[in-house]
Amino acid sequence: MSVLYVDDEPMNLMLFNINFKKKYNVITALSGEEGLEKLSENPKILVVISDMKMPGMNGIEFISQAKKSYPNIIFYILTGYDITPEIAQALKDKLINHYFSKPFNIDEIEQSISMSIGRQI
Amino acid sequence: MIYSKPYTSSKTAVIVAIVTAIVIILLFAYLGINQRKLIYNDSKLLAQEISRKAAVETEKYFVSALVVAQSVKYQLVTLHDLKGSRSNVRSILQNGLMQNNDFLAVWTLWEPNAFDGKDYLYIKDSTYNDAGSLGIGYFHYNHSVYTEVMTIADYLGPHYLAPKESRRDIITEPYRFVYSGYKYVFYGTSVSVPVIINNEFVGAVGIDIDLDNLSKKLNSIRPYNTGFLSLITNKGRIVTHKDSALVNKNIFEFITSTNSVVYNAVVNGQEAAVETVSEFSGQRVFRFFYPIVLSPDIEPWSMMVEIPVKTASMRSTQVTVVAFGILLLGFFFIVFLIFNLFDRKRIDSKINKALAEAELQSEQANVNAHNYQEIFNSTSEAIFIHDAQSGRILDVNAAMLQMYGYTSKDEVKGYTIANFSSNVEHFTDDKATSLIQDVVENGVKFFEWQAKKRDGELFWVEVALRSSRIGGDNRILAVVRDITERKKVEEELKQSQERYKTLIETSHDGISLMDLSGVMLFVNARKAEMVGADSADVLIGENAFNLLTPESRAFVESQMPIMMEQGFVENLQAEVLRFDGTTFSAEFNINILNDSHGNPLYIMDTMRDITDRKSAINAIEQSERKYRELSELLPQVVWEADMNARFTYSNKMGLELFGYTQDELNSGISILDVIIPEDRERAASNIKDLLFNNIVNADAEYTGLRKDGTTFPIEIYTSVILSQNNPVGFRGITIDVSERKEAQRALRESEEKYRTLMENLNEVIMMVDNDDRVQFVNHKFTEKLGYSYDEIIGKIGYEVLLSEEDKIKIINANKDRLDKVISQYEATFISKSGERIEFLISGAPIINNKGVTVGSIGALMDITERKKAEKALHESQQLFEILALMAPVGIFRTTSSGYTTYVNPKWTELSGLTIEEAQGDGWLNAVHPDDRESIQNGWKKKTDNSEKSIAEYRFVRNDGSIVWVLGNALPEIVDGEVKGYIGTITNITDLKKAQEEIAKSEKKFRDMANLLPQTIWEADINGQITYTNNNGFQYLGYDYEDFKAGINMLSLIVPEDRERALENIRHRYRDEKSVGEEYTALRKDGSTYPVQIFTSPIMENGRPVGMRGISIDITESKKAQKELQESEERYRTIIEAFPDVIMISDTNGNVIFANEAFERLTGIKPEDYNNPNRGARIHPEDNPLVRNEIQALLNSNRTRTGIIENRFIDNDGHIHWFSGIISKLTLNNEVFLQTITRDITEKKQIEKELERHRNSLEILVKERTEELETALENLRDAQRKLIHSEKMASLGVLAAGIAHEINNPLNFIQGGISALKTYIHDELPEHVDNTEPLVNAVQEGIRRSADIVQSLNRYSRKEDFPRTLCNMNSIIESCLVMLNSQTKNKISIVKEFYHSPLDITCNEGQIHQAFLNIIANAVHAIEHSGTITIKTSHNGNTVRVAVTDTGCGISKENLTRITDPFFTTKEPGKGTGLGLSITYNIIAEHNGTIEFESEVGKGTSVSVILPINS
Repeated sequence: MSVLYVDDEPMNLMLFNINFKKKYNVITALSGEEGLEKLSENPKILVVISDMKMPGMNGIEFISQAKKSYPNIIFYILTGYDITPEIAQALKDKLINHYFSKPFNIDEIEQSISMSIGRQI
Repeated sequence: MIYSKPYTSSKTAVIVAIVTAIVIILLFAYLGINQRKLIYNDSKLLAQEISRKAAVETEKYFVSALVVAQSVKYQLVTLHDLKGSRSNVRSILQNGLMQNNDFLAVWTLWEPNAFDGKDYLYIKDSTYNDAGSLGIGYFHYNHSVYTEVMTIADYLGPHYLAPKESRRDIITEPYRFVYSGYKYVFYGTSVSVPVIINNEFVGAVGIDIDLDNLSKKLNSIRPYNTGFLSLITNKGRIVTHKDSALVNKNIFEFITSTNSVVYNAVVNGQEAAVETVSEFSGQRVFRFFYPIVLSPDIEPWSMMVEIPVKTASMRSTQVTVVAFGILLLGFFFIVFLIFNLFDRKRIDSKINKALAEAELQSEQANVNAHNYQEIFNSTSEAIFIHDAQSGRILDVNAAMLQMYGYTSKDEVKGYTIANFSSNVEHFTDDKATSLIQDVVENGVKFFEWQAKKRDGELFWVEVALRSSRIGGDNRILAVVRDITERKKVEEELKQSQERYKTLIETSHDGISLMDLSGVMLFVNARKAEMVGADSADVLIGENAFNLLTPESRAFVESQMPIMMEQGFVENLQAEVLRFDGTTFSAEFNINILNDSHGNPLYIMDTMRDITDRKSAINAIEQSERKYRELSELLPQVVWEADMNARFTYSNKMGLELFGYTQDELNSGISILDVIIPEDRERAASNIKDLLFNNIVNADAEYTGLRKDGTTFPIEIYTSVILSQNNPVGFRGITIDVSERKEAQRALRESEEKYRTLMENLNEVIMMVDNDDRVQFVNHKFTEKLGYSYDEIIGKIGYEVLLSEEDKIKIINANKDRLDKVISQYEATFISKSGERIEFLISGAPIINNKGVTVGSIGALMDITERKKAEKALHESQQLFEILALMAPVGIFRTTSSGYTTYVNPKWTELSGLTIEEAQGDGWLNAVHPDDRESIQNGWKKKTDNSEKSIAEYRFVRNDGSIVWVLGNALPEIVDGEVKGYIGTITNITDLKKAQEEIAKSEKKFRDMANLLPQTIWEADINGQITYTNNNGFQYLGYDYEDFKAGINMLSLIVPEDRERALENIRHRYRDEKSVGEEYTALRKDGSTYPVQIFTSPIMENGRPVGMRGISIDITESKKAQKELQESEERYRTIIEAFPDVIMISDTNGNVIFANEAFERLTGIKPEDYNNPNRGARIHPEDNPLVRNEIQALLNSNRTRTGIIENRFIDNDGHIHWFSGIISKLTLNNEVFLQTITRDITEKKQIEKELERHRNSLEILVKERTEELETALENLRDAQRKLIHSEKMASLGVLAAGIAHEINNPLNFIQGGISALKTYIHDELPEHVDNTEPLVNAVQEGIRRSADIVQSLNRYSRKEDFPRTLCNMNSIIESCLVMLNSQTKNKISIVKEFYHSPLDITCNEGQIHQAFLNIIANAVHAIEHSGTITIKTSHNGNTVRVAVTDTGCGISKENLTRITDPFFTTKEPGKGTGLGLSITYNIIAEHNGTIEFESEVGKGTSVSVILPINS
């Protein structure tokens, strides 16, 4: 299963890849724009996890745009911020399935993904 | 109130502001710039002067040393010249030293043999040196003078060599030296002068100066306290300095920034002043240098003075501060003025508003004062106003005067409580004084008191004492209620227990207590006695039912279920079986006694022997029956009817007469139903007149209608039944007048018949009365004599009609008539036209039914022709024959002995006999057997005596019918001899029959009259009593003899009433109906009694002939009426004047009766009594209370409730407080409720008012100054906004930013360590054991950091963020994390969290902030160590969080203010005073509550209750 992780910190991308590569085919992008590119290149991506605060598009802006083209993909936000009204609204609109706080909890993310996938399948 | 609008000119304020600004700026310029500089320079000069003075003093010191040295030198030179001895040298030196104590030593040292050339002599002398040269000195030490031997070494010292070489006076550089034999090392300098003799240096004289001492001296001079002096040599060496460590050091070592000024000053001995930073103190200083010049030869030393600028210029600094202070003050003042200007308008309007409000309040206060005065005067409780100090009474109300029996307030004023107390034990003046004292200290006191009235009577009162300030004076207000009654009740209650025991044992009733099966547990002696037992013990254990006869037992057992259900049975009658087998009637009252749970426990009965009562009742019943039967026997119809004219009673006669049964009557028959429809309207109108207008119409005749439809004439006499002056119905007598009517009709017919007969007779008939007045003439008369009826009726017959010669004859004949003589005679009448007509007149008396002659009747036969012609006789006889044949009356003729010879056809018709059968005595066969003998004898007797005969007798005809006849027979006298008799018989059957009927009726009435309990009487036209019934005699005390002698009816009433009676009689004659006039009757013995007399005139022939009436003794009813009236009047007056409400209502709440106070207080008018929807009602909140009380009263056998206090809304919607009692009232077997209640609204208001006065000012302020609250609310709002914008904006953004920035690196660490852990696990499994603790430690670090960051995040959540579901326990956890640094190692946190998560809907950020504040306060309250306990709990829809600390606590006065904004007890800068205010607002926004409990020194507990869904 392919998972796209978008974060403007290369360090985060690296660490995410290392921690999850055994379970998922991790694809990374440094910005929302690159994320969109990666999505078009990899039609097998089922899950997208995005940081919130990024230069250019922020996480929610990126996801809203991606959701239009890929309505079946499951989107998550992984953020260092606390829940913001924007995230709350996204949750309410079912734009994202969940939001994770940094520092990430591997088990939480895995469980969440497997549950969502299970539900979707 | 008059007030003027406060006015302040803003112009003035502006001018003041500008002027102030200018003055302040000028003042600042003057002080701060100009004066400061001057003062600064002054200070500098002053410092310089002080320095100079110190320098001069030092200079003087050195100069004096030089002078002394030179003086010694000259003395020694002189001594040398004079070849003086060495001892002289010694004394000179000694003198020099002694005279100058300031110097350390004085010495001289000479070149070898220079003094006396005898050095060798002194080589061995210990007082000289080894060479024996003159070198001696003296020095001070410890106040003694010691000799010093100047050694060889001294020749090499600077003090000697320097003057030797320079041959000038010198002052040595400071050096250290010792004196021989003394260990003390001196630090000093020497002033040495060379001794030059003959231009040759021979020695030196010197003065040693102790620089330590000088230093001490100089150091003691501290200009401006912190300044110091320092002596410096011309080489720059420091001689003295406040820092001794610097002594001997060179000044130029320190003064780094050497400049020429300092150098020149020190080296060249020049005066100098510099301002610099001191190298010694580091302060900015003024530094002065002064040269100390000893002589022109000696290079001067310098005195350096340092004065800190700060202290020297202290004054100028102060001036600066003052100037700035003034400037600031002025600035503030200007700002204040400007603000003041802007504020003024607002304040002005506020003041005006406040003034208007004040006026309103003042008016209200006046109204209140007036109301209080009213209350004071009108309350039913006594009120005293005491002076608190003296205890004297200042004022009382009217109720007090009434209660204590005084008439005016002046009597009471100045008295003390002692005058109103019983003064017996417990109620003495001392006790009262102590109570009053207590009230003055503690406020309010309630107690009972034994009071004394003016007449000394003691009574109980309840007193409410209250201390109050009236008009600035301490007053005691005593409200006194008379509780004598209550006391009495209490006393009675107390005694009743005792009494019951006695009562039960001495009771006339048998009393027993039994269990529920009837087994007797207790029996009193009386019961035992009643049933014939030897003692009560015999009965105990027996079943009570065994004491009843079998029938009664069955009956009582049938009553048991009812008894068990309602708890009691009353007046149960049963037959009781005595031990000896006899029985008696008893009445039982049985009660079920319940235990405390309301379950039946015992049965208690009282048994009363009612044998006597039963027999009494029987007697009354019999009597009643007797009277009722009597009433039923009455021949008239006697009845009563209600207001709707429906019969409520009729005697048997009535039912029989109208053909109805009693049941039909009961089901409702109206008076109108028993009269024919045509009469009903008239009857109804008469009834209406009677009932509503009290008019009795004479119209009493109606046609009655029987049930079967037949009709008959009746007369109805009615009177109104009054109850309490109101008509409730009417009663009457109905008389069947068919018979009377019939008789009248018969009479009328008869009269008609006769009249017709008379009028149609061919014979002239005339009738005259006893005065010969013509009463009647027939038609023939008018024909014959030409007079019309009008011309002759009423005239004296003989005067009009007769010639003079016949007049006498007629008068005499008519006189004979009085003796009932019938006669025939001839007379000559003169007609109107004057024609003479001869008449044969048959005259007969007219005899009334009493047998009295009332006139004469004459039948006139014109015999003019007979007289004229002989043959006229025969014709006449023939004529007679014809007359007889034709006559409508029976005519007969007899012989003189009475044998009938002739009867006419009419006679045969009447008798039923033929003419033949009537012959002789045959006619007697037709006479009724009962009459026959008397008629025969009577007729025989008459005929024997030739007398005329009149008789009434009956014929019995063949068909059996009876005919009454009046026989009239006159002797036929011819020439004085009786030839026979001629007679007529007239049918009087009808008349007779009517007479009989009337006689029968009369007897009936007479008998009845005699039976009647009233007096019935008749009087003639003159008032003479002609008849009275038996009762009349009895009542009036007259007997029959008196009656016969004649009694006038007016003599039967008292003289005062007679005029009125006459007047009333006149009314009666005018046919006005009597309504029963009341008189005072007068008995024969002179005693009197009240009567009511109904009268009616007796009419005969349309003329009144007398009066009849009924007199009713109304003594009893008068008395009763009077008593009733008095009683009613009394009660009515009391009830109407009663100040409290008295109301009687039925159990459905309809008002039956109420007094005046009722309408006055409730506004309910009588027409609204039964209106369930009326506005006035019991206050809805108190309604259940009153209902329950009434229900409880109705369900119990109590007669009244306790005092009920309730609110009542009157008709105008005002609320009253009522205090009253409801009693059960049984009227006509129906239960009513009587309410007596008092309006205590004003009392309540006073209480409330007093209560309010007692309460803190805060409440008053809250109530009255809404503005303030609004302002406070605005402030809170503003503050909330402030908090939001300032604190949240900055701190929140900051926190969020920090959180993000930390979370990212934390993410690296987390990701890194996770990856590392996996790596080790996978690649280096043998290292897992060693690395795992390390990895865990890192992860723990990450977790904690993340917790802190998350807490920061929570704190920063925006207020307008939507409310979410948050766990209260985790919010508190995160608060604790944030405060961890402050609590660690100091405070132990005890968490008593609810076992499961407490999720509430809230703004998490706000709630977090609120609890952070609360817990932070708890932390701050603990100074060193302590415990904070946090307990969360769950109760229904709320969550409770209690934070308890063991800190310093909060004082009571501060506790009420801690939520005020900006209130803090922390030191300035440590707390904003906003924390709890914010907390309070947040909790309030969440609809929660926050409470504080605290005790100084023990700690504080804060509990917050929040709804789960706010």
